[in-house]
Amino acid sequence: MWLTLRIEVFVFVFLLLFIIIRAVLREHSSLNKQFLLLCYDLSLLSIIKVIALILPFSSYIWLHYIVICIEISLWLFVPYLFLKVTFERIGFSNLFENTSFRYLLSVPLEISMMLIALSPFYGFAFTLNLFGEPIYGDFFVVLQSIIVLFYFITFFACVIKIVRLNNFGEQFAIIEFLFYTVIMFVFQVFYNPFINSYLLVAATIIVILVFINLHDNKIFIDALTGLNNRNRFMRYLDSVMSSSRTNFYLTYVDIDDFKKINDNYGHITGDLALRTVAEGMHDLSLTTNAFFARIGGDEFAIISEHESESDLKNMLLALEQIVHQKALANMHNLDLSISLGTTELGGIDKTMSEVIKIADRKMYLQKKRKKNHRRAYD
Amino acid sequence: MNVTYYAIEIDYTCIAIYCIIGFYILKNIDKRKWILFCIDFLLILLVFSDVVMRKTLDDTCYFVTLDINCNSLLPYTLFCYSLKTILSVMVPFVICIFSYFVVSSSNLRYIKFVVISLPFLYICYDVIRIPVNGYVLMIAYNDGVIRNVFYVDSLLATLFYCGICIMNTVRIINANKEILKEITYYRIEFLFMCIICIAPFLIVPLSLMFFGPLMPVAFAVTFVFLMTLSQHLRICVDALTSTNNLNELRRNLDNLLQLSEKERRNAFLIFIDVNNFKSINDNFGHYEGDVVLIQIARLLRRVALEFNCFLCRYGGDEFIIIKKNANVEKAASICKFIDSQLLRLKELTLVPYELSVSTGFVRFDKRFSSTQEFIDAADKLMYETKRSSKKDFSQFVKMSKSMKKTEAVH
Repeated sequence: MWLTLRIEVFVFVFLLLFIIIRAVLREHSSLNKQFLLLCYDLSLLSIIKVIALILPFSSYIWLHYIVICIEISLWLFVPYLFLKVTFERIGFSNLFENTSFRYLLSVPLEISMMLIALSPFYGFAFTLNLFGEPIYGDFFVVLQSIIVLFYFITFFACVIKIVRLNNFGEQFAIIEFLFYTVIMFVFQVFYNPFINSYLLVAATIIVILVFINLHDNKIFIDALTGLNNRNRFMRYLDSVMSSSRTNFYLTYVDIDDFKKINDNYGHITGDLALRTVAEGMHDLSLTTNAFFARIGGDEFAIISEHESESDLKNMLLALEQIVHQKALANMHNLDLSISLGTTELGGIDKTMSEVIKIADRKMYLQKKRKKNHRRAYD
Repeated sequence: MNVTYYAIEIDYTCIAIYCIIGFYILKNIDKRKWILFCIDFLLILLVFSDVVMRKTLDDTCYFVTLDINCNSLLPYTLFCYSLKTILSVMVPFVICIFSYFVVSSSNLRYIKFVVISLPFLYICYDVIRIPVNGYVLMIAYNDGVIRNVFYVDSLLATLFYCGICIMNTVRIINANKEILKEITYYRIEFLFMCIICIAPFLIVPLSLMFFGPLMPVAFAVTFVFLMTLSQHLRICVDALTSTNNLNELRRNLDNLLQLSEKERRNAFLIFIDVNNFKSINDNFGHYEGDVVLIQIARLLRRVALEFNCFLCRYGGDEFIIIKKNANVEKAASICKFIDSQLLRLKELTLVPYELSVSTGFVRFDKRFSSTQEFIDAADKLMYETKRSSKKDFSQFVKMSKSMKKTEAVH
């Protein structure tokens, strides 16, 4: 009876991992290789555990040894692959191109693989007791210390990255990974892998959580400029409108005569103009705590919180200046200018669509004013 | 090594997964959010009552016959076991009602609701009377809780509701066959999806007979699978027009590259560009521009369905249709059809602005070795058409031929 339930756990975990693997493969992106490797590792681990359960260990003792060797080495690879996944998600993936760092990480693994391979003969990592069940060997401490080492490296990498960032949204994403590291550390170090399968279950749940946020940048970030896209803007505006919106302002930003740039200088220059404005917004986001998004072809939006209107005006002026500077640097013979229209989000009787319309109208009026101004000069 | 230990482990896993799915539903799903969350919450309640029931059981007097479990916290065990029984019937019942909302829209469905609720109300009455007369669950001589004769009632009710759920699931899958076949590209995967959607309803009656937690596991697997499908739709479907977006276009072109040379040569890429879209945006506001895009997307979706091709939105006001197994005449006829449909739409809606599109097509032949090259060539051609602003698509055939010549020279 307990055997069926135990097998049920592993079959359950295997099905979940299989679904996640298929979902990642469906997207055809080459970015998530480490995550896929972790999923493969965990699914193989669950299959091997089922085999180890079913295999009668009275006869076929060598088969039993081999199965447990494979199980322990897969178990050992979990922190290493988790480290790689975390580094990929946090942004340290360039460290792996440095070969010495890679060797540094793989040497402990090779040592422990050798220990495991020699265990059937000398009992270094594990031995079988009188009932045929595996127990800790003499040098299992080595494996455990290597696992602890990997988790500490992951932990400190997360902490370093958190300290470097100052945007709370991104910090929260990395705090999540910190949390996952701690949970996996607890389940891998303090529980006997031969008796319990807590690590497998916890790792599967963490894999599902990571999967949900895996394709965030495809859903929420504009590919060309790297700013938030329309989806995220609508969602953020919705959340701001449903909470207290005093001192919140919405600004629509539009590039003047974008169609002319595209027609006269080509698509590539048009893309460069968009990226110039986006760079200006990126730079501004380092000093101010505002939300920048690209909503459409050449439209951008800013949601920001200011104590007073003059504060807002200063920020918009700074934006215009930065964009002007970057335009001079990137696009030599082009006059890049932007139009802005601002509306205040406070006020009880405004809905989201009304607010968008008002900001839109104001920006359009400023554009018209600029055009008439220019025509008056000509 | 005992049943309770491993059963509780499975239960905790299921609770964690249901909580994750609950948060996902609340954050990311717009339509029918609350019904899905309700089902999820009922399942959490079921697993929770399972956990409490097992924790209040005394393991030392567990008998092999699977039916007798003795305990010292009798009221809690009894309460949780009856809660578990009623929830095992409630979950298929709620899914049944929900699927009737989705499948049929006639007025008869309210009468159907009342008729279908009757067995469930009877089971509720039975379960409420458990402490009184013990027809469903009985307390045995050694303070154990055993199933009595009328436990079969809940089994039959479960079979009834699960049968209706299976029927409705099959109907829903049949109705959305094309979309689902597109998402699950392989036939095996489509079969796997059908099995996963139907399996929980086959497992629920089994779980009433078996003492381990089978039902939460089956539903958890199904929910995770549906979550991955919903995630795929979020990645690949454009929010405004509900057509495929760039990611899906890349996937489709990758699949196209896998085909044989002959099949590839018969694939055409038709691009559609809305004329003067910027002026509509400037003169009438962005909302009007959005409405125009949605209307044109709806029209193009009807065209894509009729001619059995792939539609996607390529950018601000540009759409792409990919048609396999076609020739130049078919591609030209599709363009003509789009123009005529747009003319009809303009006559019907009487908009104050000029509503028209430029169309053109490119053949997918061997000079394109990667999807990026194909997209770039189509982009270049679209840009050329914008500059020349000709709506005559035969010009584009000539233009693409001349492009072929210049590219061959290079």
